[in-house]
Amino acid sequence: MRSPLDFLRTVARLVRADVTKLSRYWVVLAGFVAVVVLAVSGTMVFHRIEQAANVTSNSGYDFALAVMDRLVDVSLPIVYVLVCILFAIDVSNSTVKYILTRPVTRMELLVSKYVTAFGMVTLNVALLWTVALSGGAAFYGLGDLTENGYVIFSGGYVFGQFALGTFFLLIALGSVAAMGVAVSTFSSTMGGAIIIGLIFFFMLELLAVIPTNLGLTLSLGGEAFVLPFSSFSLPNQPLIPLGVLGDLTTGIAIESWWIPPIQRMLAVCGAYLVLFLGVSAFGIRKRDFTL
Amino acid sequence: MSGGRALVVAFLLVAGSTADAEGELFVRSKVEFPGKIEDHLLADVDGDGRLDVLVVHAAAGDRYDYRLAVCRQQVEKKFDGCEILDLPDDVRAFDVGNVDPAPGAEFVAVTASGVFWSAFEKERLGSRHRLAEVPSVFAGTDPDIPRPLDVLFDLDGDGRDELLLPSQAGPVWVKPDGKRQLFESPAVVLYRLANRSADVNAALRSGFQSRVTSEMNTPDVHVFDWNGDGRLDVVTQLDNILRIFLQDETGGLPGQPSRTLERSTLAENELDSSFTGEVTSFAQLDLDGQADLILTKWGSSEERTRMDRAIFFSRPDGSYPDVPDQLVRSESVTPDFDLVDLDGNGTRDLVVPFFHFAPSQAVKVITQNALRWQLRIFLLGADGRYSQDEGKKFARIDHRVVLDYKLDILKLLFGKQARPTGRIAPLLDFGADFDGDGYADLAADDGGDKLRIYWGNAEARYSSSPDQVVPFESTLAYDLVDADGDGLTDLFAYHGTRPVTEQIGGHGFHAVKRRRTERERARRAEEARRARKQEEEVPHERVRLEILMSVGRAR
Repeated sequence: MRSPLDFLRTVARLVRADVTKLSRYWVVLAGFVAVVVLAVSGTMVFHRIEQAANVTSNSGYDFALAVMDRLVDVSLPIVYVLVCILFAIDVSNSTVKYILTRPVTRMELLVSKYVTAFGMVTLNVALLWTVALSGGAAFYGLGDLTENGYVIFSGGYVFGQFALGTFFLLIALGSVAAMGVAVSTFSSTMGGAIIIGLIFFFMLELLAVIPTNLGLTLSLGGEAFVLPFSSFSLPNQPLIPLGVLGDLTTGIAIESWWIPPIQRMLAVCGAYLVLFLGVSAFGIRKRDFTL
Repeated sequence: MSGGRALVVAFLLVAGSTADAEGELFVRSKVEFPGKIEDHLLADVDGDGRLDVLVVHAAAGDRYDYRLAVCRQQVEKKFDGCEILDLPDDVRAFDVGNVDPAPGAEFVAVTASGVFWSAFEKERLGSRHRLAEVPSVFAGTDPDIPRPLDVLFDLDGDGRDELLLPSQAGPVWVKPDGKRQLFESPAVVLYRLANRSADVNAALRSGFQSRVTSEMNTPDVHVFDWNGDGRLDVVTQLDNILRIFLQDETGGLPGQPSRTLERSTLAENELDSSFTGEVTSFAQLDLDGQADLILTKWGSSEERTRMDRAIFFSRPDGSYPDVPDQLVRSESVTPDFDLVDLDGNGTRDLVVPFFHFAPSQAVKVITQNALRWQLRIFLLGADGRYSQDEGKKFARIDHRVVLDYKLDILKLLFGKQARPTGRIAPLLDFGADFDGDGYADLAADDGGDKLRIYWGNAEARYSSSPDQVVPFESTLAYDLVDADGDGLTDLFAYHGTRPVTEQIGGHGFHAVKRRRTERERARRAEEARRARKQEEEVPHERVRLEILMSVGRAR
């Protein structure tokens, strides 16, 4: 029986091996370079559009948030695809056989993939925030949030709320990454992992565009309510904490993050996370990696 | 209108009244009858001191047969049904007011041949009496849907209304003795050469004389105590020019303007900007009794969605400064604002709707079918100025209120009901005092058949969540008014299909509406076709009223 500490040590070693491997794989590097290029060019284009349309952001924070909103949407499929190939790299290169000949359990291997995937989305968010906030600082300035010459919120308060929002954003992105890992668990080739992964991604993305008045009519305590189909969409969940942050830049203090939209987001992301964990745990136990 | 039908039909259909279970804040009435709603107004037609509801509507299945439903308020805040009255064919516009010595209001019809009044008799309109034969802008024009028009005002304060009728030379005041007086404030006529058929003829290279179309812009007419002397004055407004006709001690009003005011905040370079404009409003903001000016400018060369309100406070001698005393800056999609005494200090506070343009808003609209509005509150202090710090250029926002409005895009696009023809203006109003505490309550329809009520207070701070939520079918047409004189605001909501006006030749100024004779011909042809096919006309269109009469529950 391995102790939890041994479990964590092994997972850490596997994650380090993954990071070393991924940082030398040109596809992954190209993916993150693409994210940076998209972020920088997207920021510039957004600013150009503002100028052309005579619509300006209220502040650097407002600009950064608007840019971030779009960049998360655009970069998510890229990072998701990179996550989808996490297992497939090892399977297609047959390295998974050698890993499993070591004193490594299949669950440790699976958890290490989840940790690596979460690290990848965290890196993605860090890159995006860096570019977006740099753009906001360059074009409008950061510091205290002001409006018409009046200070609405101190810079520290805004950054604190942005950090909280990022925490929830990472939860949502983490559940999307979990889907990528689950797909990857069953894939033997990188091409197959990407194709199957994108099919699932866009199927769940499509749910988001169904208007909220369409859904399942349920009864809660004798009172009927509609559970919209769009609630089951996963890729648009990261936009929810960004939407909450959107109020902040218009002068509305965020009194609490424990609000119904965030609660719904956590419920949806939590449900998907449990589902994908279960699916991937089943897959990694049943798969024959020796073939 | 069908001649064989009786002139007056008493119609009692689906009607009911219930007290609300949710804290008994309202007595609720629902009234329903066949037809398509066109317009509505409130007036005391029977002289009992309670306002009744009047609804102009087209008969079900016949969009050119206009009728007036009179829904009388009963004792105990109830509405039990409506009488359906035929509107005479020649009614171009109408108003309801007190023009004879008898208590209760009369129906005043503005027609091409003059102005007539009729009493509201039991289930019918009484005989016609000529009120005035005044050459108005309506003379010779194509009759269309009869619309309510404010033409009755009690200028001399004797309790009876006089006629103030628009004409090309300016509003004409018809005094009780029949004498007329013109307030010189002429309409502006714009002429436009050619039209769509001219384009077609030009393309066909045919020689023809192009038609000259014109638009006549008559001034808005306000009856308002401009200088705080307790006497009503007449104010006309055309573009940004205000002409004020001040009433003297003898009750007389001058034919020439006592004052003419025009202010502008547009810079030279903004005159050519296609998305920049300004509009003048006026109200008594502070406690000096004199009207103050509010100029709303929308757009600028740098920021398209910017809305600046420039406030010009009146001086003791009745003059106004050349540059604004204060500037209130915000951004929005429409220049609307509200002036309400929110904190009960007697001055008018400014409420500015703020709509932030951001991608997250678009996502919210698409995925959650919700619009997020922010209402920004600027309180007018005891010093007669909105909050503004030393050295700052703009007034400071005192409070903000955030509201979500559910916008059912699918229902709007594909719903059975016609799409709103004008802008979407949901019930979102600070003008209510449901509990009678003297402070303005915020009533907000959530777009999902619920009315959220936020109680007002001396600080004008509204809670982040509603204090009371009552079932209420969402509407874009409503009245908030104290309809029974108990000091509590009541709510009238109007529902019903609004017919699409038939147009030939496209939209905009190219549109040519069918004249009555053509319509009549088309209608008869349609009737004949139906008779041949033995079709039965199903009156599926319904006009529905939901009325919430406040009972003033203690908080």
